[in-house]
Amino acid sequence: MGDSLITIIAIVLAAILMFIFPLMSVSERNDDIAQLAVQTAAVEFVDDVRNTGKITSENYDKLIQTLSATGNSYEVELEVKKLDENPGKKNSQTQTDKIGENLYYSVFTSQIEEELGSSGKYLLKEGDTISISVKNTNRTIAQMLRNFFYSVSGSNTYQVAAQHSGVVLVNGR
Amino acid sequence: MREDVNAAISTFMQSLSTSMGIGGYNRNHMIDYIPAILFTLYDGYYIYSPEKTKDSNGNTVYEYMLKPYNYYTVRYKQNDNNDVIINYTLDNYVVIYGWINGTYVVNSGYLVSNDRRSNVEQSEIIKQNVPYQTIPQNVNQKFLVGKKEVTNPNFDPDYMEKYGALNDNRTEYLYPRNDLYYIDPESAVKYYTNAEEFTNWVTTNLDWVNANMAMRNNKYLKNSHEEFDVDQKIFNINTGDNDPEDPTSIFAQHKTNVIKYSIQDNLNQAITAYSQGSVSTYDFKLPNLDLDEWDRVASNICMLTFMQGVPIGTKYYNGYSLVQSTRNKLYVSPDSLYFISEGDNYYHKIDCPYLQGDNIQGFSNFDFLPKKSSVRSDEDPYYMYVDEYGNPLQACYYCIVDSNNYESVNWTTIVAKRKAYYTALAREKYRRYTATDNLEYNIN
Repeated sequence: MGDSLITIIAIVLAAILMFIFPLMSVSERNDDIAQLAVQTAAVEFVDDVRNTGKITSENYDKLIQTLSATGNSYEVELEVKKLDENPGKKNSQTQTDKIGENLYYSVFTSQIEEELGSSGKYLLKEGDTISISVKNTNRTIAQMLRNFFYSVSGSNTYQVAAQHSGVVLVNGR
Repeated sequence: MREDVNAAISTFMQSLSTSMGIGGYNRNHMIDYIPAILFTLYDGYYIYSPEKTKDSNGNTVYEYMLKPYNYYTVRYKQNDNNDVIINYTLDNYVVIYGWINGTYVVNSGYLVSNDRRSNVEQSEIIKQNVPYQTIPQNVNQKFLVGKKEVTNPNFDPDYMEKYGALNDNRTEYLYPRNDLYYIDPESAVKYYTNAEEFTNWVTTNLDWVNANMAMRNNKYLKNSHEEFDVDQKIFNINTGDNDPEDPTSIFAQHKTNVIKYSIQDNLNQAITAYSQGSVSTYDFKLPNLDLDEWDRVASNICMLTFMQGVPIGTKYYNGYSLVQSTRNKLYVSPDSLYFISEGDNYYHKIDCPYLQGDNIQGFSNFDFLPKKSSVRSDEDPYYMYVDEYGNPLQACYYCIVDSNNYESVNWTTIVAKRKAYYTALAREKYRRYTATDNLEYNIN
């Protein structure tokens, strides 16, 4: 009886060692590769926008395609900060007539996507900044396996993520 | 100018090492990976790169220095009698010196094919807001230019009488950007008059200049660069295929090639020389720039930086970065003009539908930045263009701040806009400082 229990434990342990760990290791590597691809795609996208001064639907579609080619689903967040050079009055009580610094106001993914949908491009100007943040929304195999074994799960955990941002260098037209 | 460039290099190094500071890099460590920095200006360029020199012990060392200014120059030689050197610039201004029909000639000016004299404002009134302290009230009054006290040399009392309200302290018919504090009301017309005279001179005297005669260092460029191996008369100026103000014209294309290869050859030399003297085993080379990037270099004031040979794992990092300045007082590009209309509290681009009215004036975008007169250091900045309450004019939210959703109008069909545009461009070009302004006009 005791012998067969130990045998079963040994078989389970052997199964974990022989199958699960390699599988976890492989899936982790897989995520690393996806991470690299996503980071590269994000950097390329931002650099392209910086050098051309516009977000086009071709660019954006290309980014989405490159992302989905990694086999995961992603949430893409874009933020464009528009430079408003008009002098703002600083609203402090002591110096109400003091002229303030440059201001930025932000435009986000949904607004940009709407514009891309209607006119195919979103124009930026010199001095604006663009930033992108990409996260996976599905659970990759590595995440699932990890959750199964050490159950460190939460609703917001992500495995593959990339951020990049930069200042736009030319006026888009 | 050299000081400004040196300051820019210093700032660049500072921010580069700050942003990489976490890796323990410091400026001296970092600089080994930067084979060259290029600054292109209006009529030439600087290269910052290491040069072979001797230290106090007589050892050969490589020391970083700003090399002498290079003009965008090329030489055209037909025979011993026709042999000229031409300095190009970012726009349609050229300087010519050399032998034409056996005579030594120096001349410079703008090349134009369209005479728009009748299309521009014949005599302009320019209102600008200047700080009260600096307004000269009469011809002998002293005022401050920078930190120097001078007497207004070009102050024309008749001009003030004619247009100005001398007792109005806030607005003045002066142009405070120039050291002379004065702008000729007929600048735009004079620009076209001078340009036409010069263009006529060029078309008659330089009609033999051909793209395939271009040479540098006594070697024909057509042998090394196929762009020059064409039969094109560069100075056959006409409105058809060779309008010098049009970036697709023969003149402009040739000029871009001259600028490109001048920079490329010199930069190549600088980087290769560095590679030979460098202790690093990395082979420094000039990377290939896109055609698009060369176009940007040849049409704007730019800074181009290289970083090569930084070890990353088993490979080396090799990258470059190009930034351009579109707002400066060295060069006014046709895209960098902003326009104001009487009674409007915003300034616009020329093709903005909200730019309306018959009384439109254009200025370089540089003029809309806040200024500080150097009378007091603690004072608030002032703006050159203000509304009737003294508040600064603001950038139009439709065309300048957010150019998305922007539906431009065809301004060439609107008389007031066309006039404003060509007047502004001609005036700004006429006022532009050029180092060769004082060259003698010399035809025998």
